Amino acid sequence: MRVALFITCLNDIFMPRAGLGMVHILERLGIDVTFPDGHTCCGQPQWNSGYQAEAEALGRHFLDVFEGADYVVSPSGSCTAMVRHTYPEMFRDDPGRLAQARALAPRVYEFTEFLTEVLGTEDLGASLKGRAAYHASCHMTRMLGVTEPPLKLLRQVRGLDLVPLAHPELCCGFGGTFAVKSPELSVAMGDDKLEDVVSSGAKILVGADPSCLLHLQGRAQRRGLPLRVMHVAELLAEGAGLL
Amino acid sequence: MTTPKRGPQTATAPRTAATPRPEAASKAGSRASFRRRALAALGDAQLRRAVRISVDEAGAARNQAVAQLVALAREGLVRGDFAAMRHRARDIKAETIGHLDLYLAQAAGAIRQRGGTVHFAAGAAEVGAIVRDIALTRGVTLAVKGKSMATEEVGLNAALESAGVQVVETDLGEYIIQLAGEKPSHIVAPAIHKSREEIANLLGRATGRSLPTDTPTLAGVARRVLREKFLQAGMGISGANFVVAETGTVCLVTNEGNGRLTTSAPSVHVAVVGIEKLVPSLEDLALFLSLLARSSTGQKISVYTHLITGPRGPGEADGPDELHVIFLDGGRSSILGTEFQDVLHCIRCGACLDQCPVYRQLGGHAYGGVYSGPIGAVLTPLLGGFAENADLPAEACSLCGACGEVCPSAIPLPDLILAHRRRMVREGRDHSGLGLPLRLAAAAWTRPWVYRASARLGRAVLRIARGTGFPGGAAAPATPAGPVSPAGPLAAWLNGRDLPPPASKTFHELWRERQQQGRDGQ
Amino acid sequence: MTDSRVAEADLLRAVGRRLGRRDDPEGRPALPAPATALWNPSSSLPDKPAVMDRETLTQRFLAELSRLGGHGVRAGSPGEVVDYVRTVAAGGAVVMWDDPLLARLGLASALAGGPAAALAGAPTEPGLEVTVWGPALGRAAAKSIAAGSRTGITSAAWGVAETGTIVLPTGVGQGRLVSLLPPVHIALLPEEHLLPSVAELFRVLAREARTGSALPSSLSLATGPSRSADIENDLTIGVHGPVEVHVVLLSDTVSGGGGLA
Repeated sequence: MRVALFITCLNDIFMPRAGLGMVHILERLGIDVTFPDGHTCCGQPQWNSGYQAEAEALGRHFLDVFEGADYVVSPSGSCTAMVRHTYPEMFRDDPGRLAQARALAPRVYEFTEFLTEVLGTEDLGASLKGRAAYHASCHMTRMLGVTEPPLKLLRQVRGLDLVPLAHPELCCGFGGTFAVKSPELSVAMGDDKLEDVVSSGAKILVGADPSCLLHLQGRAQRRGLPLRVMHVAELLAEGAGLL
Repeated sequence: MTTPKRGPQTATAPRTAATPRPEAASKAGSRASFRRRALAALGDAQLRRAVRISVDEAGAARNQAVAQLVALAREGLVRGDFAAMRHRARDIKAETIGHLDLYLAQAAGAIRQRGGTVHFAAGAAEVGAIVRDIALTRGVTLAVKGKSMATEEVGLNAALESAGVQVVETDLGEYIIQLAGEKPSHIVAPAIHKSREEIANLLGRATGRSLPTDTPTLAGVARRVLREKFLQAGMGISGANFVVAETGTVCLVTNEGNGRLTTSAPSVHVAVVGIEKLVPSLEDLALFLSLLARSSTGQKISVYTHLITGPRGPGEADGPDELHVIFLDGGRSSILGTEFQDVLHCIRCGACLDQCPVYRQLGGHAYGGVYSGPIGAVLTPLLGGFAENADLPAEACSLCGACGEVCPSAIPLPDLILAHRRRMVREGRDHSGLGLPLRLAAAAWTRPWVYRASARLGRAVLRIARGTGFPGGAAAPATPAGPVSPAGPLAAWLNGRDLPPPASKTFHELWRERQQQGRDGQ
Repeated sequence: MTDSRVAEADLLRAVGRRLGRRDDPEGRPALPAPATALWNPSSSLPDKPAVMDRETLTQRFLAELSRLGGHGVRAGSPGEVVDYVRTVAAGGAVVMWDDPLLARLGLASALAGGPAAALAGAPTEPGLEVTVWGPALGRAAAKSIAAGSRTGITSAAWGVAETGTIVLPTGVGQGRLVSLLPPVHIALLPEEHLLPSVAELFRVLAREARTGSALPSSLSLATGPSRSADIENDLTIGVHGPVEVHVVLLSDTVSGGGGLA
């Protein structure tokens, strides 16, 4: 089975370890992993800020780069949602690109979704001691509808005490360009999310969306909170001795 | 609502870490409005506490009531689960709004047939003139009023006061903020930002007494004061939650009973109704009533649902002699035929406010208009002028999607926010400073080698910055961004957050190395 | 008023134009053919009317009402009705509807403590001061009597089991203020007028409205005592409506089952 990696620009620059973790896990499971050279960005920041033409340009590039891939797997729920959910809408008036987007969409998966739904794997033989809270990103939950897969995987990690958050449905405040357009508001929302994490007793905050994680990690660090922020691929790979 | 388990407001520990400093107001420039109000709200701990408690409670009650629809649907008591019901609700509204002139004409005919008088008002000035005229020709000096967002839109109270008619709000929350001279901060619970001490002060001043702060006493005082007004008033003013076109029935939904008293005791009843409030028939009304209460407060139905069809009948010893229904356009017709038409499906339940993480931080006043929360962010630029209000959809939304999920009319609120943002870009109104970077990135990143080069460059810049003690850098202490910082998105990010150390190698580079090693190893 | 007709034509035309319609040659707004022929309102209700047996209807109604702080009882005989009402209404003036059901039970005289004491505004022997509502009172007096009474007694046209709702019409002898101003409201509801759901209620109302029984000028669905949570989210009962709501469910023997309009 061949998988094309959709690493995402944020992961590429700030969190390549998560991408590496993903690669190691997939290869361990016997997957042939490729990384298309032309890979850049899905255009989500442009789309969410109203720059439609610019988003479409990046979208067209994306569709061309991943044309013909059997599976496209991404360590970002929101970027996966952009391709699967938004591209068909974005290319509504372009029949050629619309067909291309519709053909690609069912083959694009978020990483944990791919593991549990396509590969049918939940137990990676991982162990990591600690109390962890999982942050479900808005786009992954509401747009992609993927809620259980990360939890299924995390529950199999030996020694990991997974605790729920008080307000799991509340946005962490990243919101893409919202984070810099309304920074104080964004940080206030981040603080509420971190408060939930801290009061849950978790020392590890794990998520499947690098955007949220960067925001929460950045704030936690500024506030000196004793919290380790990890991408789920990172946590699983580390726990399985692959990183 | 089911008995709220609400106790005295407990203090939360102040944030120990440095909270980000607000950008200088001068820098905000023409975007001062939402931003400035939002910053003021963020600094008001009591307000935020009150808002949070209210919306968490209302949101939880709503979730519970909506979940129960599944079982009720199985029993055949409701038409379906939430998804099915809001699907139908959307269809009803699409039908109504799509034939709005027809249904308006039908409603007018039905109301007149029952002895009511129908007026059509283009906007605030017309509503004011019509109501003033009715009041003055009937010698009305005191009017009582039920909660109506439409009358807030047109500033009716002020228009009447200037004509010598005293107007008293009768919804408890509206009465409180009327005494305070403020605007409502939530569609359903207008006074959630007020503490009981403030309320006791306001009621005390109004009655010339010093009052304790317990709820029964305060409510009792309000009840007695307002009771007198109901009985003395020459006119009752209401809005309408719905108007049924087929029968000309005006439907008022309250929990307090002020809707019924306002429209039963005085001899003139004036209802100010946005033209979009129509539904075709009584069956359609039933569906919306089941959705409204559940979405709004988590109740199956509100305490009072009042169906008014014409003024009092012949021989009835109470009820208004005259019923006046004023259909208000107020900018709604300009939304017809645009990509925003679906916003006219709103039934003013407030569910989107209760679920919005931004509203939860700020309360309603930060939005600066009659409508707040997600519906406010979409509607205010449409009714109140796009240029002046474009900052709302631009800055007051993180696109989390919660609002779209809970809207009982299935209005695609997040999509409409995006539509506003696209319009802003088309009209050159994006002053966030992000336009250039986003455009450059799009142009550059369709060329993979440019993307890779820019990633390496950006990373190098950040590393240098961190090494030189740049705020947020590893060498710098954790303080809020100082006055000297690079403009734009980077400064905004660093105003409260660190940037993670950019990786020494991008994934692209790591991958290349891996492939290299793999080849070398063969 | 020609002004208002102009405003009406203008607004309808503005709306029509935005919806893509053309004016007719005389400049009148061109309304499309009635869409109600195409629109099927009954699809807004459950496909089939819900069916609930009498016992379930009654128990469910009482449970819902009680959950909201209302008081519900079943009465199997006229005597039980009178006893209950007399107990609840003790200690203050009573205003009641002029209504066939209440009349047949002789409530007015039973409460006032003497025979035929149901003359408007004329308290007789020791017993409660009872006023029967009616146009003969005069509007001002009627208002003031309702405001000064402790208990208002009405019948109810329907009840809804799903929610504990009672449905209060208006009429010549059926005043709005009777169920609104006094702090205590007692409603007498024949059990056979219980409906399973709000949806079923509106199915009935719609059918009646279309087959000649026009809606009354005011129809109130009342569900429990009046409430507000506007003071710091703290629940208050009895703001602008009754503090106490009592519903007496009448068995068929009491209500004369099967014939009451």
